[in-house]
Amino acid sequence: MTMALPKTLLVLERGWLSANNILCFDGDNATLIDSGYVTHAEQTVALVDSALHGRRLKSLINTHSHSDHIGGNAALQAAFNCEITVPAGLHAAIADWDQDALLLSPLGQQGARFQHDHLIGAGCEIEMGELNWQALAVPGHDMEALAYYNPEKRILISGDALWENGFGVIFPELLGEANGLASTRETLEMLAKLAIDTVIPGHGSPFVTVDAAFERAFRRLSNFQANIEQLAWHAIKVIVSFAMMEKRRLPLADFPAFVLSLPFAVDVNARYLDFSEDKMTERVERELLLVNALRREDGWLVAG
Amino acid sequence: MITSPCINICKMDDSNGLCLGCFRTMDEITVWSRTDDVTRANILAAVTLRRMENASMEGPAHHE
Repeated sequence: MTMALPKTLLVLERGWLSANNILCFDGDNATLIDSGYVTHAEQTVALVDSALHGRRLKSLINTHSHSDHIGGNAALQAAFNCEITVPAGLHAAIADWDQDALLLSPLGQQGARFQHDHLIGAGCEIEMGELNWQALAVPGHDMEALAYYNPEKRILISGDALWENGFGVIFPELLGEANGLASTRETLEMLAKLAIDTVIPGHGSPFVTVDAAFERAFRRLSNFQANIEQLAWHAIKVIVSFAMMEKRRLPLADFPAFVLSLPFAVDVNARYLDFSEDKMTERVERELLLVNALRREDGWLVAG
Repeated sequence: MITSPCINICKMDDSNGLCLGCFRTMDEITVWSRTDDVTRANILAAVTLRRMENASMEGPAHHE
């Protein structure tokens, strides 16, 4: 089914490595929400340029500061001279380009440094695509993340707080911090009370099956809360899968070393699972092959 | 719903205006989220054709 989104909103949806880019048109001006992964930045600029049809990209706003949402910020700023707005809680991490706080170093991901011009906090209202949006705090996956909600058209731009099938990895506990799981529950409970007809998620197509998405999200969260090892294992698989999307392909024999080069995977395994290196890397490979996140091809492992 | 042919390469080939990963034009990538399944199927058919043409031009070796 095709989404009947307002004509003033255009979702640039690619694969999972780049978060969705949402273009919001306001007359001769436009705002972009999230900018994708850094290795895709050149194409992101070209796609945005072509979709603008002569309008001016005045601003770029982020839902949160993970690499797949901010990777194109620097390139878009350079190409369009747009002003960048980020969630207020991320001011220091971005200003200091703290690669640990931005999760770049632990996850083995790349970024391109940029400077933001403005901050936006929960409770602020913002005009985008001829609609008024409320910034909502949606801590969990990222404790500083914001979602944007338009009550009139009942649209939620959820970032990674809610997807059609789940939500982004709940990182805080896995990084030795507190309250990620409890915050995710509060976030989902808050969102579930809103009148929402359409969700534009950070990854995947916009969707209208909102009740079913909440049901799946709550079920998944309950599993993680009952069994944090399940969250730990899920997170390792997601991070390896993401890293492979960037790498594209590598010789089968190099896969174990590749997994063990990701500090997050090694650390989470040591703290929560304590699998031997062999067992961890074999299990990741097997389970990612099983869900087609990886495939074997003439002695190589290839992403998706 | 027909899912996107994107394979996360997301880089344009300047020589033919197609994405190196999914063999779509910029317009086809841009409109994807607004298209219905008929249009998507047409895009995928065009992509398959371009992929085959590309493979016959490039020979059997791997190119990414």
